Amino acid sequence: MSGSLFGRADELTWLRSVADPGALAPPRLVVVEGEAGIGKTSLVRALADDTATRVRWAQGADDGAPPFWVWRQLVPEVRADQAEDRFALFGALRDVVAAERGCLLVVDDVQWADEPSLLALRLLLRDPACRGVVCCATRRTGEAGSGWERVGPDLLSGADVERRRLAGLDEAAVADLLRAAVGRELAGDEVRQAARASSGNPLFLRELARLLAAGTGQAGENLAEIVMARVRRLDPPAQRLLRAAALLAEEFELTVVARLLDLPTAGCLPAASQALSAGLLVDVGGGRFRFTHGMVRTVLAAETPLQQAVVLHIRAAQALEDLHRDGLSQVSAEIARHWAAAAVAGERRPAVEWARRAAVDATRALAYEDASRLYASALAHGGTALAAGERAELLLAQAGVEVAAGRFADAFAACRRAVELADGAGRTDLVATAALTLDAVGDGTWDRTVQSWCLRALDAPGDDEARLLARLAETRFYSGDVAGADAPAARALALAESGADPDALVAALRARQLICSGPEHRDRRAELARRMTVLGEEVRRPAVEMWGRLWAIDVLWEHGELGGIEAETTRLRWCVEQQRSPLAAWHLLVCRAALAQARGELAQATALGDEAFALVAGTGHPAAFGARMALLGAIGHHAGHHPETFGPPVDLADGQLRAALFARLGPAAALAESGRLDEAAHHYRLAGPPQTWDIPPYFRMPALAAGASVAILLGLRADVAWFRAALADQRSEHVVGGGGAASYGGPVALVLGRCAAALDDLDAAADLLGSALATCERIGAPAFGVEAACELAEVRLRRHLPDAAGALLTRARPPAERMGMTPWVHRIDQLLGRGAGPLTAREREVAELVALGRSNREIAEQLVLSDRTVGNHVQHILTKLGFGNRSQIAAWVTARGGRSGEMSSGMSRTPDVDHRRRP
Amino acid sequence: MSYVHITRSAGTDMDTYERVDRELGAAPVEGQTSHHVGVVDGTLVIVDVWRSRADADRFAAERLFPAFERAGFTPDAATDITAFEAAGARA
Repeated sequence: MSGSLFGRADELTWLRSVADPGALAPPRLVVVEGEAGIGKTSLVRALADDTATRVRWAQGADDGAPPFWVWRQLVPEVRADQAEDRFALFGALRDVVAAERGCLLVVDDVQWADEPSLLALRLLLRDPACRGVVCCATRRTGEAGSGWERVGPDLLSGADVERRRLAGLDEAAVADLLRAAVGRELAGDEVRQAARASSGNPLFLRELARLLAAGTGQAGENLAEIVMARVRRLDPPAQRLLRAAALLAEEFELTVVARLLDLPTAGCLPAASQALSAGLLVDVGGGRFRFTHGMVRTVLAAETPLQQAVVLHIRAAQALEDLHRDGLSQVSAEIARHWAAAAVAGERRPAVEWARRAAVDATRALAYEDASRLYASALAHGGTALAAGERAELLLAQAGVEVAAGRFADAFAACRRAVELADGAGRTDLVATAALTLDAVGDGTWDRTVQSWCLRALDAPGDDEARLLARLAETRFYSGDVAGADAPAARALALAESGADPDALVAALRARQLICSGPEHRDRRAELARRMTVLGEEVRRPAVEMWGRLWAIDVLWEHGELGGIEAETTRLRWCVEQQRSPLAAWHLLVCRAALAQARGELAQATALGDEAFALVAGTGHPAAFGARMALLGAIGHHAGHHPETFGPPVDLADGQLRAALFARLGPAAALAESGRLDEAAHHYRLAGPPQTWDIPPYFRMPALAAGASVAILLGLRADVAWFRAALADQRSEHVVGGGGAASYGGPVALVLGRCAAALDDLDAAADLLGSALATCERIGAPAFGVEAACELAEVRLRRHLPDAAGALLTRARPPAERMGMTPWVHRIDQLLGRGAGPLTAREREVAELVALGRSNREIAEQLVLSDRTVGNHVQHILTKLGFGNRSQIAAWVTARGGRSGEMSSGMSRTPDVDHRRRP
Repeated sequence: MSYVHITRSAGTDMDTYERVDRELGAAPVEGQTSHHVGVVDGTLVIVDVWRSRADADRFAAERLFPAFERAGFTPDAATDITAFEAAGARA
């Protein structure tokens, strides 16, 4: 055990066992908790001192620390203010710690850690890429900064969290500690009295031991009294230095303290030296010192009279401003904290200005939660002394960072207050800012409110007119007024095109694309995609070009042009690589995963989908969950459903209300296809009658297809008929959304064919399914080809064409098996057993090849069998069918729609209705 | 034991003091046992004696600072404050 640790053998053993960062272990959080001075840091230090693992150490600091302070200490090689966005920053942090393949991150006093740092920590602890990473945090109980209050409970509820609360030392350990610290054996009464007074708190005991060693203390005093007694034994200059420093921070610059004391820095050195000798400070280098324990600072700070504290905070703010005039962004939050402390005496303006400035610096460093807190501080300190317009400006700035932090309800509330104030101040420009701060989200109250702001701001339009019109169009669209959205979107585009503001043009193009996201506007979206791509190229902004590429890919999906998607994805990859943003990388992976799924490369699709989700998991990105569920649902449709897709639905109270439909249909389809019909029916009913569904245009095809699938499996004929009618005009299309395809749902003809079959319209079903089969063959979507073959085979069985059905099924089985379509293989086998002919699946394959005139050797080579096995199969076929030679087998196959029917070549011969519609 | 609080504000005159004093109002100051003010070499010196430090801090937070704000006075960084628990007193 470490020489400074007493009575913690069990705790250290536990800590070593849970904090061992095995190279392949998932990331883990270990929290050592307890009151101040109980020995948390010493315990973790003991672990860190004798581990072979790389240790990165950080200290949580209360308000005033630079943005991402914890991560600046843990991973100084990554700078928050140099990252493109938060995804990039978190990605860079993850890359560094994941590359260690075993790393101990210590966060001391995690209860003071800043919120952005804690959010990054939460993300990394839930990232499978961070295997071998252990975060060991110490947490002082009973205290919490705003960051811990918001994020701490969630961190502690993570999957892999170990916690231990340190209790006071027992009497034997107290005796050991006192013996070592005092330098002699203490009497039993003295030990018991010390143990009782300190409750076994090691910090208390060490302070007590100093007094006992000096012969000046009584064991009955409290910790604050003992600490102050130690301070009072110092010379007056050292006492003054410590009291002044206590108002700064746990770690402080001596030059700043010197300004507080109105002394030259060199003049403070003797006092600092004495405090070091007394064990109250430690020298951390670079002219910086730190209190040996947070308790010392707390006790000292409480000793300073309020009026004196105000004066010292003013001096500290002025000193920092002067000493760091070339790097104020690094200390602006600290200066803001001092002015905030001084504001109680009426000096409000500097508190407002520095809080605002620090908020801007925090925003630049992507620490949005800090920025929000600082704007709130500016508002609080400015109080009613601020003019309405200035308050509105601060509120809007706060709303902007709340949006960036994903706290949309707070952003909305701030914008509402800002607009009220702006109205009173006659500041229409701020109403426009409010409208442009909030995206349209699909929530009724929200969108109507933003819409009203747009309209008011457009009464006196300024430079933002095009962007306001675009936002107006979006809010109308999301409110269900699709027709009313058209005119402002068109006007926005016309205005933006005549102006020189690329951001306005981007906004206008995006609004137009949203409004045209239905399948009927496919050609228009192709044109918008082209223009967005050209704009991105012209202004040399890969992020803009990326949107053009993504929109183009959406259109290609709707054409079923898988080859074109492959080519466009290559161009998309370039845009993504230029951005070096995980969010951009996520878009690329989502595209690649969907393409793999469409091609029946189901394992590859799953892997790419997992990779995509891992990039943004934990960030709360609204698209991440939906895209993952869409992909998993599509893969599960062919490979069997993953339990993750059965629900529960996403939180319907948060985000887009229309997500409710998705949240019902996704699980309903997965459950129905898995045979859990009662549960599927429950979800389906919760979505309401399909005629009443409020389907956004970009979700129309997937929603109708999923609804039809569930209705078929639940035997709801009326609903099936409704879906069939709703999709009838789209017979030549494909089941994909128009606003970011995360999966492919196959040809619409396949859905319609299933509907027709369910409604006993077998002629139509055969026609549609044959068409779907041909389309799948043409575009290279073999899993959907298997599905179409099965459905068509079932129709043929119902039409008493068992041989033709058997031929289809025999043909479909090998690819189904190869693609891992387990449920479909079972279904094929069941159908074959239902009278699709006397031959087994393998015998049918062999018969097919015999009909083509292949020799046994050629068949053996093609099916990777031995000549003898093929000979056996041929013999069985002859026996089962009562034939005497191979030519009879060939005639039998041909007569039953085999080699001359669709069983073998139909996938390419069936009329391709899609082909006629392609431009 | 008494708590003594001495404030030295260079460059602050009696007019400013009286402006703040007016804002403080006539209500008695809880816990203040004596209050003395004068100008020494251009520095306003205020000597207050309190029953306790808590009384002094409460007065500052609840009455003095708001009075500063209403009077348009802001403490200067050069203000020097000495405060201590009196070891003894003579009437």
